[in-house]
Amino acid sequence: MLRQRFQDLVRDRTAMAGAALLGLMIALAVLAPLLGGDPYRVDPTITLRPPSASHWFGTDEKGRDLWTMVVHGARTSLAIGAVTTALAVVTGYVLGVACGYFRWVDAVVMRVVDGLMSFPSIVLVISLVGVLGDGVATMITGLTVVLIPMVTRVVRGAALAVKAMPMVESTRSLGSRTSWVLLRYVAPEALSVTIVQAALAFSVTVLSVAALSFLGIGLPPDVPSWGTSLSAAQQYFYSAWWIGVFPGLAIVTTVLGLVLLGDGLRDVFDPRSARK
Amino acid sequence: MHTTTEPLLRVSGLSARIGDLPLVQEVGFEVHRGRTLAVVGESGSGKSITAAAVMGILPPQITAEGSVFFDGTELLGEPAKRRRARGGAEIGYVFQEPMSALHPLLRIGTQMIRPLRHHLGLGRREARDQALELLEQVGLGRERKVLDAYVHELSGGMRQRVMIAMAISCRPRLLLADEPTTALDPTVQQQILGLLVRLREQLDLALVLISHDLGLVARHSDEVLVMYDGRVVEQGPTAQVVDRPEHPYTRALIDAAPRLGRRPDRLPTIDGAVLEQTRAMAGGAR
Amino acid sequence: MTNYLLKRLGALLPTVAVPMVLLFVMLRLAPGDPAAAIAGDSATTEEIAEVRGRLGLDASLWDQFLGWLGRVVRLDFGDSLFAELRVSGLVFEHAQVTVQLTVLALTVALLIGPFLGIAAGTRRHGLLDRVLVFGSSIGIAVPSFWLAVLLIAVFGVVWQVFPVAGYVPFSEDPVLFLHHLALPAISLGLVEAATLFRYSRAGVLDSLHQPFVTTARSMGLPERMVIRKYVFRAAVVPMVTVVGLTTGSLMGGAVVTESVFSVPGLGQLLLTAVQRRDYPVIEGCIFFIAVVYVLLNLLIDLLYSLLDPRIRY
Repeated sequence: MLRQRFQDLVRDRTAMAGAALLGLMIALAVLAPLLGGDPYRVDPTITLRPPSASHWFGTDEKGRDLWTMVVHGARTSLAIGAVTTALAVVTGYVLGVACGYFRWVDAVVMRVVDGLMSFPSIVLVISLVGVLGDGVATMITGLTVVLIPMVTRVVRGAALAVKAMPMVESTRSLGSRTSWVLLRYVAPEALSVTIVQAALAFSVTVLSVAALSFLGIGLPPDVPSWGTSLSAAQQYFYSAWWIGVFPGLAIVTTVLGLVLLGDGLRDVFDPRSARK
Repeated sequence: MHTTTEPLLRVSGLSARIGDLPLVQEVGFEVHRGRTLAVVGESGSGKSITAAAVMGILPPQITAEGSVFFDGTELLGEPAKRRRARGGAEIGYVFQEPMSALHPLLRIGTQMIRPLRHHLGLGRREARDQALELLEQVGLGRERKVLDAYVHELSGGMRQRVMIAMAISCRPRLLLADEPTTALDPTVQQQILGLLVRLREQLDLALVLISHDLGLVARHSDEVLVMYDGRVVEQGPTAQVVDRPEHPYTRALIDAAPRLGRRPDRLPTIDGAVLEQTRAMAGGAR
Repeated sequence: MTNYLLKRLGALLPTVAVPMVLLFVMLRLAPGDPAAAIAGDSATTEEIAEVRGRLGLDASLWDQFLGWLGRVVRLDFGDSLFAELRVSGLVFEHAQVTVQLTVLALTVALLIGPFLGIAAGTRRHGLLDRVLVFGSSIGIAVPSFWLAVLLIAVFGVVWQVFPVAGYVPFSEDPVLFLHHLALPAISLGLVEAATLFRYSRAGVLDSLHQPFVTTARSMGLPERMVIRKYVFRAAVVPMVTVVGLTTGSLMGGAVVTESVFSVPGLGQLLLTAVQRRDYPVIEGCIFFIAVVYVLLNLLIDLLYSLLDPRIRY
């Protein structure tokens, strides 16, 4: 069945276009040290140079090569995105399955989830980072806290649906052990909706990291990041349009890739909600 | 009242398919004004597709070919706009599920009045009066309350009566009723079928009654057409088909309806429409 | 109705309580001494102790929580740590600007999104539909702050038709007010329009083949009328929820956009507070946004019952 779903996904051209965009960004991130120069090398003699053969994307206000900044920015974004998504998805999955199965867990967790879900996530992340102080670890913590409810709610829905299936109900009434029912039926079914949520969570993270570093929150200012570069563009756009364009294109490429791939994943793994 | 020279509707060689999958193959029949044709078959036999093809409301992915000759004109291949304009005015359609076939967010009156204004060019007030008239005609009485109600506030039988009132509102000559009683209680089923037949007589309609229940429609139809797997397997005068079925499938249908033949010719129908309506209005006030 | 409202308020309580408690806990879990961080590097021990006292961090955790709860319930967030100003006053003053910006951005989003959604939904698979669907995917991928930077570059710097920053109160000069908020509202609204577009298109596609729409067609009503009076009427109800969510995310997006355009709204207040770790102000901002959220949700419920006769409370 997994194989069939994978084949369906490969046949979806839009999803594959998304996967290609995302693959491109991942390649840039992984190969960044080979593709670009040293992102920390500042050269005051070549500030704000337009794109040329030696500097494909031009240079920024500190004389750093913008191409290098963009590929290393991809490294930063995707690394934080991957860690955050992994943490949020694993926690959300476990909580969601537990909520779908145990009523008392559900009662407690869902109140908290509802409270967090309906709050604008970016505001909450900003405030959490504000309280916890700057740093990559705080940013990941803040983003994870915000993303967990999203995953939990969807996984819970799937788990509840599985639990109500006649086959599972009869297994339970025949006295199967809870752990066995969870492992055999609930967990695998919930996994497929989790895959879709992972793509969504990843895109939210990339956008949030960009927004936070654009505002100068969370990441140290010398860490290469698309948001930080764009923030400088506000000042220099008129004389150096490239600072405002290339990092932005990098964000859009990544998020677009994730959104398209996510839509495709939803069609394949979560057809019920795909109709909406 | 009996067979005039020209049938109002003559369908011949009608086929419909979705992609390469045939849904209906080579269906043909005739209906005259003042007569009732019952189209019978289990779900998936193609009877609803046939009706939708006559009406011109097939989903876009289904294509139809053959001939639908209505009142001197070939309907298949007619421009979509012309075809659409015949709806309501020349052919009325009664759907299976009045609950979903009526708009949940618009008042009954609004839904009834729009076609009246569009086809008959009535003013707002005239259309409203006409709608009240129609409600009376289908046994609901001249009830303003019904016009102001929403579909969820009515009982199943009332909904279907409203649906029928709407279908006949713009004076069509042909009425297609697709499983008009399936969603209803057994007692209400008989009332609704009785109503359809009465209207057929009063308005000199040609009536096509689609059902999976041969036993139910046999009493109300002049001719019957039995469909199976997209094809016509048997057709003829109802009495003949019921008494001497030729096709094994028809026999099976008759066996599936043990009521047939054993039942008294006229069921003691209670004219419960008014009672039913009162009850539902009280219930609807919840 | 009253009963229902009370019940809903109860259900919405976590929206206010959870973020607030989270902030309370996080501040106390934060590595290092928040009081020292707030007081600054050059602060003396006495100054740090004073900050700790003002934050109430010197009491036991339980006492801290009770005291905090008491103050929150009385809507008393104290003073800003950096200015002798009540938090409530600060929040209220800045919130007005954010609400104005949100309303303008929502107007932009509502003028564009649903309209194009209906246009695309009724012409499914046509050229317009494809172009718009692709465009909306991009719209969802574009961060509003980048759009803001681009808009400033084009309309503010190159063509100079709109001011690049600042705010003029409506009461002072309505024209200048709109002039200043136009770019922020457009950059926020366009991004949300993409979301609204997707939902309204899906809503129309969903309604187009509902049985009651087929009925309207079978009655021979022209397609234009069927779409306007039957399809749209059905598609508009779920849109209310989406608009509610949109309004919420607009308020969130406003935080970022305001900083690009130097609009003195809640976002700017929050951002400054975060940068200076002005803890009471952060709390006040979060509380306000949460309360607006709850009220918004109640409003949506009421709208729902007005638009859908099947729902009665």
